[in-house]
Amino acid sequence: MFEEQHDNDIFKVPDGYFENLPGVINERVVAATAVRRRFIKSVYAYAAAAVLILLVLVRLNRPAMTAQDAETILASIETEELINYLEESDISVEDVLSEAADEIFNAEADEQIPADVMEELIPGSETDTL
Amino acid sequence: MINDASLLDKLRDPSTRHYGFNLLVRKYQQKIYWHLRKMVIDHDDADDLTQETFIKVFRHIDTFREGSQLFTWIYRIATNECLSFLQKKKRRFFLPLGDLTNELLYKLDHSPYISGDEIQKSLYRALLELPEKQRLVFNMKYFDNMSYEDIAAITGTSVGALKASYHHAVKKVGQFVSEKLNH
Repeated sequence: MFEEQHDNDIFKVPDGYFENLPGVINERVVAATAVRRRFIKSVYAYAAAAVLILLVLVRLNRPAMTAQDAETILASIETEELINYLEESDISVEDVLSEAADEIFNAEADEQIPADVMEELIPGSETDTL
Repeated sequence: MINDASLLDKLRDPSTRHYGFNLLVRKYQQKIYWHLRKMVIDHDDADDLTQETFIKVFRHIDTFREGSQLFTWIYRIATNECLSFLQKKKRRFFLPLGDLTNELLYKLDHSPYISGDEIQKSLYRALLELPEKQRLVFNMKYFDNMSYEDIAAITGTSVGALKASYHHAVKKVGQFVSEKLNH
């Protein structure tokens, strides 16, 4: 009973629809490809910026990390070994004490160092004006 | 008309990709459009779905495996697009199946680019009473004259189940049309 209706369909399309459709689809494909390319480029740009920021942060934190590492390494060396090294080297005890005093002054500039500690570190310093 | 193997060669070569795609659209646009139009009734909806189908074909052509036929692969994409569209329509308006059917029946009578006598419209009214998947099977078998094997490849259903589905659809549509014509 359907056969007579088989090739006589009720649906129509606007004039020239199928002639224009490939062009419409192609425009959308090209536009979608351009959007995807822009998206990928922006992802790369953001990734590069993130890596750069990370590198800067690592670089900024590096001095503190180095100081911490130096302290850790120094703490692991036996006191006797340090004394032996200082005795064998050209550095005098006064130089070492002077360096240590400078470190203390620099680190705690606002704090008053007790005179007895200062005298112990640098003999004769009690007479100097700080 | 260019064969599918040559089309695929052109689509896989970056230098001829767009040209190959243009040929593919020209070869399959009408089949896909009419397949979708019978399901969604409205020209604008069928137009949107046809465009979406081919854009997906372009985007995923590298995933196409030679084991299946190109046209069944494209039909499968179109069918999935169509079923998703109808599901979204139902979800968006919280429509039960009956209301979606009423919306499609309304479009059958009021959308532009639909003409024909009452007998032809009665056939489509009967088809709209069928569940979507049964309607799909009926359309592919009756209008597109596809083999059960091809329909099975598109819908992922067994040939036996398809035969049963088509048999039920023909029976229901026949009864519906007879009743309408006798009134």
